[in-house]
Amino acid sequence: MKAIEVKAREFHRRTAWALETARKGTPIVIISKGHPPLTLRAGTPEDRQRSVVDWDSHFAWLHAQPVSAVNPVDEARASEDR
Amino acid sequence: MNYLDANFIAALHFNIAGHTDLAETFVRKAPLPFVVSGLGELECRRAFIRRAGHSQSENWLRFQERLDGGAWLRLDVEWAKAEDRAAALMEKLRVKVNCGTLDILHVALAQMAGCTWFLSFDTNSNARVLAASARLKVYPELSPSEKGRVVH
Repeated sequence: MKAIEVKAREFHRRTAWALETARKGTPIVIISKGHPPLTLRAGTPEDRQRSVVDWDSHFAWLHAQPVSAVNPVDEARASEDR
Repeated sequence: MNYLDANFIAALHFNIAGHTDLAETFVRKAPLPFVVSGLGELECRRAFIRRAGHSQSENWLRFQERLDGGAWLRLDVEWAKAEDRAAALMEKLRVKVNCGTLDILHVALAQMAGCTWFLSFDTNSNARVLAASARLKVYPELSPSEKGRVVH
């Protein structure tokens, strides 16, 4: 899912466009200096809740995996002999 | 927002000595959304398949779940714009920071997404140095040697 970032000033100027875009499924991230970003997205709070990562459960699973000395991406990058 | 380099994503889906713990510390505290570019996703796809031996590993499926569920934002690459931004970075910094094309693209995409943070463990390339030179915050913190190569 892509997101579009806009400054608060632009959001106020193009509210209708932002609402329509968010309704169609593209989140709008509103940035204003000195404040945390606000994200406008379609769905209910319950939908949002489902999209929040449960890090406790994830890291319990991850730490139970065998430890690797090498990052697979670093390994893949090193293998690219172009 | 936080730009996830492919090897940072891998550190959150494989238990990697020296990487996973640092990645965990950051993601548990981060208040800003995480962004995954099409380029990062593609690099992960290749690396995850290489490591797991097939394309449907639990590691990969967990990663996809974050993207499809909207917990992480998928940044579609607009190639023409990415090319322009990467070219501008090369023009401005590459003469001083020796960096590969894909690394330059990652930094360009982080800038295009309006990210504040560039999350990467790649100390083999100069991507982290380039990101810092492009005024992105880099995590984990740059080493003294990397700091010495940042262009101000």
